[in-house]
Amino acid sequence: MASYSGNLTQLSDLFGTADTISETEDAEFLSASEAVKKLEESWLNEMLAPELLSPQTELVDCLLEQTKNMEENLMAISKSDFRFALHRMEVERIRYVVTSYLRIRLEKIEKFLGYLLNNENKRQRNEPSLLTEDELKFAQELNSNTETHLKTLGLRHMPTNMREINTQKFITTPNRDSYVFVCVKDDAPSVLVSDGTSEGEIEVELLKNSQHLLPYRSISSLLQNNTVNLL
Amino acid sequence: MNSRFKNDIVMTFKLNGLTVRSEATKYIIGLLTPLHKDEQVQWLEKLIDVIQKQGLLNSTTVEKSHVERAAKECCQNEFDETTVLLNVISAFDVPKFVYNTERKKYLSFDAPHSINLFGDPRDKSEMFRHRYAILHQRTSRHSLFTPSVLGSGSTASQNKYQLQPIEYLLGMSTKLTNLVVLGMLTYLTEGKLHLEDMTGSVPISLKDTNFHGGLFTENCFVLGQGYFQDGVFHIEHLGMPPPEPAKITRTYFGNTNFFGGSSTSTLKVSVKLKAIEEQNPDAMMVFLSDVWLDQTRVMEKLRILFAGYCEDPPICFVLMGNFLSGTTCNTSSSHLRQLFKSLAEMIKEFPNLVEQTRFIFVPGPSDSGFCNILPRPPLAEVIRAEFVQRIPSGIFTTNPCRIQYGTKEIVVLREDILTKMCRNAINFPSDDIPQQFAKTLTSQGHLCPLPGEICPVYWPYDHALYLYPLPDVVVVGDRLGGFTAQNMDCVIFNPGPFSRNNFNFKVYIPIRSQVEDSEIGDT
Amino acid sequence: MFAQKGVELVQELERARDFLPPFNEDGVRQVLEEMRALFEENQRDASSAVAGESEYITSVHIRHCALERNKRCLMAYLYNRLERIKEHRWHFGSVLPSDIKANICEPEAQFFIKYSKSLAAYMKSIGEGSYSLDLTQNLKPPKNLYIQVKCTTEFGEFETEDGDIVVLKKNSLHLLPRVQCELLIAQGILEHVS
Repeated sequence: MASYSGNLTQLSDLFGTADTISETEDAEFLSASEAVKKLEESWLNEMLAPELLSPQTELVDCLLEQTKNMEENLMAISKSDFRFALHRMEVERIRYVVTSYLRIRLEKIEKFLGYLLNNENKRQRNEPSLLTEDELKFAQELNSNTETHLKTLGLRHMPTNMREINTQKFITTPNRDSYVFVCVKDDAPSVLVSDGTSEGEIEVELLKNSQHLLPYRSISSLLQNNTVNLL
Repeated sequence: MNSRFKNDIVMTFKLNGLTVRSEATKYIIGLLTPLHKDEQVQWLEKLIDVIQKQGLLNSTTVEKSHVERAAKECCQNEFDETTVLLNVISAFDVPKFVYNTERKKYLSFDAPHSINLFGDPRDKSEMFRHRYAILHQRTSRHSLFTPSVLGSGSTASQNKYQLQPIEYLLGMSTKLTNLVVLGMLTYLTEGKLHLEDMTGSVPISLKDTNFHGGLFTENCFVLGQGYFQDGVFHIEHLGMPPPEPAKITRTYFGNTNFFGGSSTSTLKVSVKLKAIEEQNPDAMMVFLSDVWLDQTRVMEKLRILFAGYCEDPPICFVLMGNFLSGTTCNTSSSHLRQLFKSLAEMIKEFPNLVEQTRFIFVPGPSDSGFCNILPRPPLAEVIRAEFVQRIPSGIFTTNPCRIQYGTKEIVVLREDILTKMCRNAINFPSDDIPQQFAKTLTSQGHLCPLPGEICPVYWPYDHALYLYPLPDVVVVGDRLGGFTAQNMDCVIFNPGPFSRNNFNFKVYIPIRSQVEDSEIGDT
Repeated sequence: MFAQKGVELVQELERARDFLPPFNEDGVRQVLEEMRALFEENQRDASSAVAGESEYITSVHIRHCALERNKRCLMAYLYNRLERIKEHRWHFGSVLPSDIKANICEPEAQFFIKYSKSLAAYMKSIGEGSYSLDLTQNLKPPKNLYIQVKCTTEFGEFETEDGDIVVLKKNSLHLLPRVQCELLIAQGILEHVS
């Protein structure tokens, strides 16, 4: 996986587009290769985490811009040039990662529909949302379509006091206690891990570059601020 | 720029899960280029919507023809349903549906070739099988015959019966009591009445039978309850299979358009049409039967009739045959042509009627041109040419025919069904004949449940005579006097012979489902 | 036993894991009938229970449990069918093959169309125009730019993104860009030849 970003920098040198830089809202400058590496990390995290993580919308938008620019540059070159094939391959790989990332998110949204929509409703204004606007729209539409469908086919014909579904009882919540492999990027001095009993918790120290098998619940906050990565 | 637009189009289709052919793309580019960019996006979405709704795609590939059709529908959307307010469907255009017992659904019958008018011997037995299938599935769904649901109270389970096939009877040698059988009455041997269904036939005895309501003739389907002994089914109670309101039929079979016409789903549930109907609450349809055009008195009365309706033109005039008072001979067609010409001239004196009313002509049993086998094609081109020349909106249709006005379904038949049924009835009921007749028609689900010798039917076109799902109105032009009856939300009436009695006719008001008697007296 | 039909419905789906069986309208109707009958009985007994005759309370309770079980079975049946239909959108594109179409009922077909639309709207919002991502494609990591495919049916003309028109005849072999063929491979029109 790491070789992808490596290829990209080489190609960018080839084209002289090594300094394709994009800006995020916080005025952080990401070079092309860094953006791809970050996306790959987010992609892996998303794939392995049992619940939905925060969306990396800026990354996705930035990379899509990248691919758009690259494709436009590609138009200028003849097809038989070997560089065309290599560059095209790169574009394909980036698109694959982005597509897979978004697809995994959609799958998780569909799976945990009720739970996520509940959280959205309870969320305060200043807290960041786990769903992008479009994802939220998609989730809401799916929810209402499902409800209408169940109503039309079944609930409408049932006795009067049974016509509502208590959706709260039937939603699936993500299993935050499942175990995941983590790779520690920075030192994390005090991580609380349950010691097997219902109340007891041990403090554990995680050293940089070490790998552990831990319950997701303990490291979810660390995952959010990028201290650990999932393997 | 064009290639960018083309890629956009292909991508939009791709996002909707469809692949679009290159010629279709070219066609779309041609359609949408003159528009502004936002409109382009909007129209593209709309096109894709319509293509998916039309449901004509067999695979995910969109051809140019699909796009063309969708584009046409997009433009026509507002006008489509309103122009079909009054629709006359000929008997030969009635869609044929065959009941599939496994899936318990009516599936459209797509003949590999066009249906022959004169069928094979197989078509004759198919005809009876289809009729039986309709009634069997309808009866088995009726609450009397469905097994009682677990959990229901004890009182509900008492009145349940079980439909037995005839082979069940034939297989037993002992006496069986309390049997209920659905079958067709036939004279399999001379003078001896049998009950026949798909599995076999059994001779019956009607000695002590209690006849429930209806006109029982040969070839009608009945429910018999009684006991079986010594190879003879002694019927204690004989009744008609219970009829089913159209609403219930639709809950089982969805919104398929059984009635006919260009719409794929039934128009009875169309909100738009209902709104248009309600805008015109006084709309009415005038039905006349046996309009003898060769009698001067009749023509005079017609003139009075048209003059009377000139101020307030009805939706349509339905004039049923016979159009000649005498018997058909070799000069009849030219005579008829002249008569229609004078009729057209007369109608033209009332320009209001020409503009706003439709004239529908249903041929009668002795009108020249075709022999009297149902369904009967319309009056020949030669006869109607002069009329149509003067009044192009005139409609010459088949006998029987179906008329759809807004959300109302009307079936029109000119045939002495009631007379024939009374003459051939096994048991003549003592009371209210029209009501019994109404009950018979709705229970049988067929316009003429009579044997072929009495009322011949083209076997492959038997489906044109079905009354299933039950229409709103059935107009039967019979030689007997006019009557109105109702059974299960279906109004059955006979306008009565116009030319014979006091020039009486009937007016139907769709919005109130009412029938009014009228006559033109001597003024 | 109460709720027998409901359990049968669920079992039917359980047994048919790889395909979607026809919509069991009869079964659904029977479950609803049973619920209606149980409810009516319960109403009668409940009013007498409230009036003071306490021996009806257990039967009311049993019927109520049966009602809940029926409802749960029915909801599970309907919801599970929806899940399978959603999967079909990801496998087959937005036009269902005729054998599946024959097995779904009208509201399910409507749901499928609405789901397709929602998905299309979401995918459109990610990029713009021809740079949007079709999330139903690109299911495997890309190995080559071009793949060798064999055409299984008479498809006719096919235009690639670059504008080249390829005539796909039955059993013809082509070397085409991978992205263009994915949708056709998913439908079985093209076959990947390694």
